[in-house]
Amino acid sequence: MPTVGARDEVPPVTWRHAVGLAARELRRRPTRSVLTVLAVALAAALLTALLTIARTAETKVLDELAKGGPLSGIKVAAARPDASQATRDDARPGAAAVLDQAAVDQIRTLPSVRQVVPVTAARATVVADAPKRGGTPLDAFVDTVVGVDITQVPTLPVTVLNGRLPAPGATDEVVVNESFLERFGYGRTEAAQLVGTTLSLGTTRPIRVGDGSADVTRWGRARIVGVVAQEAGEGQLLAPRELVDPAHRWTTAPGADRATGTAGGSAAARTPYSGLFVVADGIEDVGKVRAEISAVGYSTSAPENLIASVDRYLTVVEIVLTSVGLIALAVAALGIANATLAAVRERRREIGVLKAIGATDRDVRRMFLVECGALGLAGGVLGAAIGLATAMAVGSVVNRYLVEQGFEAVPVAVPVGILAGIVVGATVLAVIAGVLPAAKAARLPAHEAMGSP
Amino acid sequence: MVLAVAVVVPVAAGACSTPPPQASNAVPPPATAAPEAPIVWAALGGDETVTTGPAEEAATAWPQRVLSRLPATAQLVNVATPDASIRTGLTSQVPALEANGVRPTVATVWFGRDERGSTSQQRADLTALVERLRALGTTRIVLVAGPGPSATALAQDVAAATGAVALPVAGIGRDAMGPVAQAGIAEAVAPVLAP
Repeated sequence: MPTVGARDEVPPVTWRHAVGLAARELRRRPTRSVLTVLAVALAAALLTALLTIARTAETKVLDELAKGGPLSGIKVAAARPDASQATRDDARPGAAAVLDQAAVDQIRTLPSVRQVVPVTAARATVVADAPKRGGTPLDAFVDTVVGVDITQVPTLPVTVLNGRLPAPGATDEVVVNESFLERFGYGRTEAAQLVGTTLSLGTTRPIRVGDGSADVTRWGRARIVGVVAQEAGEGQLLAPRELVDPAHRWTTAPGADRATGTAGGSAAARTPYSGLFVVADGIEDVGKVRAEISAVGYSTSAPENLIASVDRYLTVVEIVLTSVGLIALAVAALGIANATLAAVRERRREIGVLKAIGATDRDVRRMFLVECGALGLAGGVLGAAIGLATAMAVGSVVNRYLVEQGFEAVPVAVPVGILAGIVVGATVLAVIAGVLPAAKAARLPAHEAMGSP
Repeated sequence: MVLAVAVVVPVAAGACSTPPPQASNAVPPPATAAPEAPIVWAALGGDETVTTGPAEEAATAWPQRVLSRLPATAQLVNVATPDASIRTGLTSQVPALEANGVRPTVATVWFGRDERGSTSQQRADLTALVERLRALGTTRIVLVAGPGPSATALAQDVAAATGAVALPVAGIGRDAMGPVAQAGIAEAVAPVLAP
């Protein structure tokens, strides 16, 4: 049995003792504990929800700006560059230029270039089997079929809105964009009306006939397998290169020139690739890579300035929202400080007894800090869970609205970093809030504490 | 006036058809059949066959209708040109196929409206045209014969001499480019081209 003053015989207050004492104290005043935890939880929930929604919105907005491709994507046109293009996002193509394999290889070796994806295109007469809304046949029309390596689509500014992409290498599958749907009188939500229907695609070139020339056409059939938003090239149809390349060659091959003396004189007609999609190592490299490609001799465009501006605005919004959440957390921390001060006043006798049996100032301080930390940790965990659930619920409502409007839903990602940060932050803030009351408790002399009512 | 089209299809059966090779019992068939080579169809001819005109005509032309009834992988290389004669086919349309590396598996040939030379010259040119198509590897060549009796006779003569298929069409009159006539022609040609 330890005696007062025999400090050496009294075991020190360990962390385990401190946790036990804190838990006992929290259980002894459940209403106060629950209310304090709820205050922290509400503040943490607010911060979690705001940051989760802000981060999801930022990702969606930036993805939208990059149209599904990487933020560091650069579009290269088969055209000479304009001197001012490097400081502008939009393309300012000069005269048509031949974009051949040698140019692709040269661009591929430029510093900070991670990937180069060639894009081909062919002007085609389109004859659709499907009628317009109401059953009226649609007259044939001419549009551009953009050809890409389908396996590279994750790298390209292509987003599937409905259906699927063509199978890699398929020569009889295409996807179309929303403008194509509009020709038939359909909106984005009615894409299923055209998915599964078939088109004839005809590419035309002139041949020499006597002293003049006449157009002849190469036709192929393709099934519409999906609807996409695509910025890989200018055209309402997107297909594997295996479908587009032969059509492109048909319109540009020089062989017919020798045989018939027609077609294929200009650079625009001779270029094997209509464009490239170049991915820089990072968004900070985009400007440099664009300048290098200009030096090689081709026009480029990239939304780098727009993305940078939007990113700055989004950062400001995030700071404001974070501030709102932090203010709420600070208010909760003041609540913890107030509750702890009240606890110190109520427990003066207990503090006196502890000191009388040998507890040091440090032991008393630790006991109160553990109590505050426990309140913060519980509030942080509860708040993060409530905040995430709130963000998911808000996301669900927003997504329902987006889908009703024919837009792609935005999945709310679980921000593990944010959740962990909020739990740790709430705990640390609660401990900080408890520092002053704990110090006050630690400084109480044993005799004064014992003598208090 | 749109004339009713009565398309007669007395295909010279067997003129160029060959029985499929018999599988040998000694060699078991593969577990999965190899994919068939896609049909590459070359269409040679004049105004009736052109598909580069006004949008409405392009959508309803007989080659377009026939193509829609072939397998999805089929390709049509339509080198028909306005006002073309057999000689135009020989001097412009076949060279266009050759120059672009087109190797048709089937071909349709329909001239006759704008012929100017003698019948013997037309026969010689059409025979040479068929031989040039054969040299490109075309196994089935359909000579659309008509609508006049002389054109029909010419096509049948050359088909008999070269192993091509003569496909007489009758009742088209002067409105061969009208939608009803084009649909009728497509009805006649599609079964001959389908695998």
